[in-house]
Amino acid sequence: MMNHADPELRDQLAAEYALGTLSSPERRRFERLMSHDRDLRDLVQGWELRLNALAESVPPVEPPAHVWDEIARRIATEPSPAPAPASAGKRWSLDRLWDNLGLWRGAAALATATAAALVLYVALLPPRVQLERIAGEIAALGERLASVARQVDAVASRPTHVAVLLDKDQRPMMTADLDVADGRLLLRLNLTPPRDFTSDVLQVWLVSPDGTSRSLGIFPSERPGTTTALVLPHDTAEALAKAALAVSLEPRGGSMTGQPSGPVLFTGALMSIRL
Amino acid sequence: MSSHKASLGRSWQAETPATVVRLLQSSGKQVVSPTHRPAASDAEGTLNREALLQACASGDQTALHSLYMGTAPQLFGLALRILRGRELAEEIVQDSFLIVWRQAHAFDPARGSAMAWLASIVRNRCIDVIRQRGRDRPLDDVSIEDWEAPVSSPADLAALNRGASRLHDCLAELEEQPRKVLMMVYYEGITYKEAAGRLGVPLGTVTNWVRESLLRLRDCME
Repeated sequence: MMNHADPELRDQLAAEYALGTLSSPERRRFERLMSHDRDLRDLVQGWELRLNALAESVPPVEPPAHVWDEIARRIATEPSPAPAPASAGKRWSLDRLWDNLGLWRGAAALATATAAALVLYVALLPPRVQLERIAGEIAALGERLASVARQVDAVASRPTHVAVLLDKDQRPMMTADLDVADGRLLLRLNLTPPRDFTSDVLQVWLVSPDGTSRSLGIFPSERPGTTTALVLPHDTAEALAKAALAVSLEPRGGSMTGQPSGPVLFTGALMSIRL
Repeated sequence: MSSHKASLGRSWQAETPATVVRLLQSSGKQVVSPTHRPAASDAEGTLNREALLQACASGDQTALHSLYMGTAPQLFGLALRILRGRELAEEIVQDSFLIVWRQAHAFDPARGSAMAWLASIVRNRCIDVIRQRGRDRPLDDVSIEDWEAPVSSPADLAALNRGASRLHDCLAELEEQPRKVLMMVYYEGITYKEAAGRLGVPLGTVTNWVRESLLRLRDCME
């Protein structure tokens, strides 16, 4: 594991990442480090700019015409890029979240969606999953509901809010438990997002009802079953309780604009479970 | 290798459903800016790449096309060199320009040239792909003496921009073997282990050569 404090080692790894000598697992690991470390990203960028002057020495080869045709076709079917963050960037990203996902249709609709999601979650388990495992999942859900019921008056370290993040097909991609009191946010990825991850990451966002969004971090893996726990500052946890979570696909290292810049894959509002 | 298209990077985007298309229409955003002047001559085009990227960031598709016309051959050449397969290289160039389109706002001209930025996008994609799926054609063994960097004639070097010629000056100060291994690693997108196996040189030697060269380059280019 990398000694985060050693500046020479950091720079060496940044250079080796930019040069491309790292193995695939090493690259992934380094990208995870980069996602939390702006200084490391700057080091990598410095090396990329230094070394990529070499690219200009390669003899040019004209690509076939269909390459551009495909690019033009694909940019025509997706939203325009996010403009500079200083201007309308924030607005644009949120419009997109808003329109795409109908985040704020009201508690009733969300509650219905969540209930449906739980049913779907069981229904969507692959057929090879054994019945006993499904039974186990249902029992676990039941247990959780029972525990929620017992916690009506809320005890510290039990979730106070939950969310089911749905994708465009209303599949329950991720579940979230939030404990406002201690700021603990537990995220669990349930299903595989519909793509392969060659150099992109899942970034988790808090989307407030007033339309602002802020990054909560990078989700560590695209493997279903991955669970990650974040401890949020108290005011962030309180804001999140009244907000929604969204997960977008971002370039390695996370969005460079501070706002979602890639497609939003799934989202869901937090709901209080103190009924 | 027919599965490349389906599994490549962001290609699932192509199947993004009607909701996104509707968003594009409802956003009212002008897709082609009337104020954009397409890059004119070649010389001007080179100078204007940074400006073209900035125009891309405001949603100007003609700027993306001008940028593509000016840089795609260089980038395709780079991808071909690393990947050793046309089909794969075409898909990487395609994929990279979609990233450029989405991320153009993140380009900062104060930090470096547009070409270096574009090349880093292409190279990162290439390296991810070969690490995970390999090349279309395997690398052959070669001796350090026989390995040639893509271009090294004085005439070509004279045509390079300032950043690139500075890099070449600094490379020229390195010993021959470390320099060649560093360039091999760059142009072939290989790991230390692959370079060692290919050249028949111990892994530790290759690693030290490259690391030492990187340090010297950094100091020289400061």
